[in-house]
Amino acid sequence: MLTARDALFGMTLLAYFLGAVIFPANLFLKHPRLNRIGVQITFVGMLCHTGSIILRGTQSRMLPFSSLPEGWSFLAWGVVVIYLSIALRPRLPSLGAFALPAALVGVLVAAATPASTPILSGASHWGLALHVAASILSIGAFALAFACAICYLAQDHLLKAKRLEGLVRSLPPLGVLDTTSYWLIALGFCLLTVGMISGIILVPEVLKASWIQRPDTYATLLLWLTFAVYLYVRGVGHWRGRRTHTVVVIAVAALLIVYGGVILLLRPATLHGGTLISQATASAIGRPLGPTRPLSAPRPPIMRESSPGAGER
Amino acid sequence: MRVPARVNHIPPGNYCYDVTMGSAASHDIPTTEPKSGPMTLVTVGFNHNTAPIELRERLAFGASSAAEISLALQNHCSLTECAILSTCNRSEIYAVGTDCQAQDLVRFLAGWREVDSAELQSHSYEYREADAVRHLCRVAAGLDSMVLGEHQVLKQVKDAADQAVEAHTSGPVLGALFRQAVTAGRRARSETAISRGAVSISHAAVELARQIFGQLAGCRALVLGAGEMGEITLKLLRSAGMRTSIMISNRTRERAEELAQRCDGVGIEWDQFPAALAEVDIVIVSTSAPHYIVKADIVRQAMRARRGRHILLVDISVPRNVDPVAGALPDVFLYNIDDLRDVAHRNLGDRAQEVEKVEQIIAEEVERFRIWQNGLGVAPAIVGMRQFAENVRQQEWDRLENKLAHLPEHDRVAIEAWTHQFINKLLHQPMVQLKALGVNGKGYDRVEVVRELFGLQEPAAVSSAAEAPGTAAKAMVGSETGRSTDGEADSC
Repeated sequence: MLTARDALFGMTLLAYFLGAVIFPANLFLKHPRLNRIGVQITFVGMLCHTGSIILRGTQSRMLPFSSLPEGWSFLAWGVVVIYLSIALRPRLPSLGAFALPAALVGVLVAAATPASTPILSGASHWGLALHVAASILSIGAFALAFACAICYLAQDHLLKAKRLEGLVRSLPPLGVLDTTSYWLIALGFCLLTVGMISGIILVPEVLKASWIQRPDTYATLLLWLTFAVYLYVRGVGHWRGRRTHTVVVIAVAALLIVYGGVILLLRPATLHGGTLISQATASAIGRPLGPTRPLSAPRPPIMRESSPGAGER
Repeated sequence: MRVPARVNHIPPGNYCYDVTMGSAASHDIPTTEPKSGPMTLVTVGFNHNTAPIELRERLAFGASSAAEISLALQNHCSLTECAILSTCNRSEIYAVGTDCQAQDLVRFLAGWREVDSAELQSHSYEYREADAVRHLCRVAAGLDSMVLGEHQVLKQVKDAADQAVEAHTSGPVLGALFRQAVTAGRRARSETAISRGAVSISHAAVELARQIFGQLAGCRALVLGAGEMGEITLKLLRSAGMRTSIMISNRTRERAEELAQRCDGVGIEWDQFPAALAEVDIVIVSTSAPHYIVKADIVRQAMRARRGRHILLVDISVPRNVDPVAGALPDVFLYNIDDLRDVAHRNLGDRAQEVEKVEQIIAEEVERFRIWQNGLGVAPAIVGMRQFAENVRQQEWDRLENKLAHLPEHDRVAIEAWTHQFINKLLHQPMVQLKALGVNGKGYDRVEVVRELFGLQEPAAVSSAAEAPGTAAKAMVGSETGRSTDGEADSC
């Protein structure tokens, strides 16, 4: 039986799919009205997505990023929300050509990924929830900054090569991309900082494991330093241009690889809101990774962890 | 000073002149032998569609050099009339002469500017007679411009006519031709939307700045050159939302200050502009210097201080004033006048829809010129016929007047008035017919018959039928309307 949550999720999928078609197509069609229609559809999709997430949270009494598919869904939601918040600026709606396909991939992965037993219950430690949410949203901000930097480099190349027809007119101006990329990095950096601090403070307490033993911590710290240096030279030193955006592209790519690839492949783990928790760690807190189930399937009963970090506080 | 060509003869089928040849020029240029034959109107040119900027900048003529080459060309190629139209996008020669050949003009120009003649030939275009008239009308209307319907080319056409008059190389044909072209240009702009919407090289430059910087409100600009194009671009930047102070630099500080006062800018010394490059975001270079002013080293030094902030260099000068090597530096965007063509084309959609209407106007003006041209052939005959009749009347009246001495004064006056009326009525129908034949281009055969019938040995000069050399062009220039005030600039 089709539930309201499923209907909303289906509408979200449809809206993001339409956006993922309209925005890239309009890079070549260059019709201003199409961009407006795309933004409106995306906004409707975001509302549906929000409704779907709220319904899921209220029905299961759990946070919307308690499992891997939910994490993907929340990441897609974060990307769309941040995109819509910047799409009001002139010429920036065309960034939807990158944001909407990314969001569509997020919700598709969420729909297709078998869910594991949730780790974070509605009664989880608030700090851990903050850690996970901030980390996920920072990835969304960095992903959009990555898109801006890619657009910047492409626009820079086209303008330099004097190829003034085609994509040049579809992409935002260099100045707008530069500013937007900077603020997105700043936003992502703040969220990442919150996620890191909360993680460093709370992980040992909640997960009974030292973050010092976690390799992703060092990778994240290195990336945090990279972004800190970028923000310093960009904000204080007023450096900008092609080189700084190349740094952004490399750093964000490294971030995505760190979170989405290398450690995931090297260590059999489950991604929870951007924090990799290994099987061993999960076991250590008394929550073995359970059988998989689709996102729409009913959740198993919430486990009452013996871990002090997982219980109600 | 050249002796104006003496109009001697108007042959059937074509108006024709005997040309007094001038002295040889100092340049090592092949000369052509004086020719006799039909008078032809020829246009040879090189524009942005046929010749690259490297060639066009070698063929660019200032006012003084245009006059100089017009005189030399006239002397060497047996031309009765000659005018040079030189803009950033085109260099064209309008010549009237006996059996005038385009190849001769190109060969002369190649020798004058030391360019390979064959190469020049391959980049040139040629129009003759009605096609030449149509071409100039199209140029004046802005149909042949890089930016469709641009305004400034109309003024440049007028200036070219003026320069030819001042150099005494213009005559009745070119005077009428340029007048007709200016009329076509003015009609095109007032009766159609061919020039509506600010589309121009300068406008394209501002659009490019928007493409790079987004909002221009916080951008800073430097204009090198206090000429007309600099001023137009500056005003356009202001209207595009630039609120910061614009720096203006010119070799003549006073001119920079004057422009700065008019445009709410700041004049700076010429030698300070390299330092200013480190501060500004947009540099508009529009000087008449024949060499690179903004050299790559200057830009490289400025970019070190800019810390990766991009800079837009717009070089709308011909010859170019910015070293092309500077465009290869990181975060430097260098666009010359050719590069801006693509930017400008985006805004031409609406104007392109008006082309058909403008072509109709041009066709009407070309037809008017043809009528005027044909009238040149029959007009001397008409004048001669009237003169013959008047001579006869006067002779008869002188003889009769003594015999009428007994009549009262008022009766004698009435009789003399009657003789005038009689002659007018007698000649009215033949004159109307001759004019009609002239309009249709069939009058030249009849002119000989009329001359034989009336014994017209010395037909009146064509200049008496047309406007005196230079007068038409001067009148035309005097009646010019001002340029558009919508901030639209032309190709240069």
